[in-house]
Amino acid sequence: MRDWNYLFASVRGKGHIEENISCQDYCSVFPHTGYTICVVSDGAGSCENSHIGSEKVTQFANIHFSGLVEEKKWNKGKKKITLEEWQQVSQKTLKAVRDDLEKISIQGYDFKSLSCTLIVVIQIKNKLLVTHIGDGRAGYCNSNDEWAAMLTPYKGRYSNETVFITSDIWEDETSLNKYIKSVIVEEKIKAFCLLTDGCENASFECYKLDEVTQIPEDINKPFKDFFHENVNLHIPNLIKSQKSQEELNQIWESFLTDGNDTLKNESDDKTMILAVKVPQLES
Amino acid sequence: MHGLTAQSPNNFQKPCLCILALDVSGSMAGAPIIELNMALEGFYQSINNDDEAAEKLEICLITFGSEVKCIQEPAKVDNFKMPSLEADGTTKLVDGIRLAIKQVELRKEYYKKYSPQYSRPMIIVITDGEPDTGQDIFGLSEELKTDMISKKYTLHVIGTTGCNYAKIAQFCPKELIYQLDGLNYSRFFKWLSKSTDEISSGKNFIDISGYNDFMHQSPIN
Repeated sequence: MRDWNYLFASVRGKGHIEENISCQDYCSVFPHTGYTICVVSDGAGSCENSHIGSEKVTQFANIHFSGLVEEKKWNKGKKKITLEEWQQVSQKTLKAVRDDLEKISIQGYDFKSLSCTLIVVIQIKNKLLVTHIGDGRAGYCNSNDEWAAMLTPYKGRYSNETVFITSDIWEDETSLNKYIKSVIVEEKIKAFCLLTDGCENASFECYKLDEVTQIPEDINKPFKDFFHENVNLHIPNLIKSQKSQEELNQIWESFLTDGNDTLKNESDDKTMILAVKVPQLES
Repeated sequence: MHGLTAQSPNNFQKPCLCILALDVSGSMAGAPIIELNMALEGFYQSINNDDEAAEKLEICLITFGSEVKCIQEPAKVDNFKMPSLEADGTTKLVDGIRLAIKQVELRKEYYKKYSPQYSRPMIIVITDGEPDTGQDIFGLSEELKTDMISKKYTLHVIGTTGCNYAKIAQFCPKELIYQLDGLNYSRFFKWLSKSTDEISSGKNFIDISGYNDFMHQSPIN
């Protein structure tokens, strides 16, 4: 994985800065031997401890999904991972994350007050294993510079309504299949991203008005002009200038804060992990 | 920015309906209606000057006096001019709120056909009085309770000098009734223009910063 580089940060949106509320998003990248786990989580705006929830589920997701990879020996590349198996085990693993979150509610937090979404991407060999609960977006870029989404966010009736890891979705298989979607990307990829919905207006084509019918269409596609130059030019330059992970994340944090007008004016908290393949020069 | 650069797409903004149900009864004549008209014009300009708000916010204006009228169907600010209100007559407050609820239902039907998602509609009622006698306060109370549980819309009632808060509380949950300090309509609408996202998300006014600079929860709380 040494060719792969990760920029990741969570920043407060304009609304939370004005109201002096802490960032309710959380994200992290966890490198392991032979694979990497990327997690983003968006704490529910209406839940008072959701910033704790998002941080905790990120950590629990790493623990449980790394346990899964190593138990299945997927990182050793000995066994083919089928979509059916991934869908099944990802649901069970997310349930374990949910149960761990419920355990910490014993420490005095109301369980629902910890509500948050979750997107997990396991990068393993030439695959991306993706699973998620709730909204947010994720996408990848193949070797032909074509971007595509790798999940469909769950959106409720009203904007900002979605399902959370704390929601009552765990009782039956129909419900699990409705709310938890898992996919495997098996293409030659050069970059991928996962983000909370605070970044979607800036980086994804979400809904566009059809010019003829004037009816909005659900596009769900990473916006190439957001990513292209960064992935192909600016980030490789940063990597080549030997920036540390901390420096990269600081640069990324600054970019997510006010990198363009859409990012600057976003009222919601913003989180994005951008993974970019920058082949290392042989010394 | 270390060279990082990005363009963003022009995404469709999910519509957000804001219904203002306004008391234009005779007691609003004089300074109150003048202040309210100025504040509404200021609200209109604030929205018009905010590209994002102008693109997603749909305003609907309902007035209630001796008659109840929808004087502005839901529309974005670039599609209408803010009308000037005149005060006269009694206070058909209950009918005014009912018409606002009807407008919510009609607009939601439209959104369901033409929009992938929309924000929860909000109804804001401003009154300086109490409902005319003979209006169905009990029926409205039951209707609001059911609608609030199913999150059909958000509703807040703002009272000004002369408002009978005890009467309002017979149909509206007490925590959603507010008292404006004096004739601070302008400050209220300035604050409202910046707070529509939060109100639509279901937040009560007391959970949104800045509200207590010009209004308070009603005396019956």
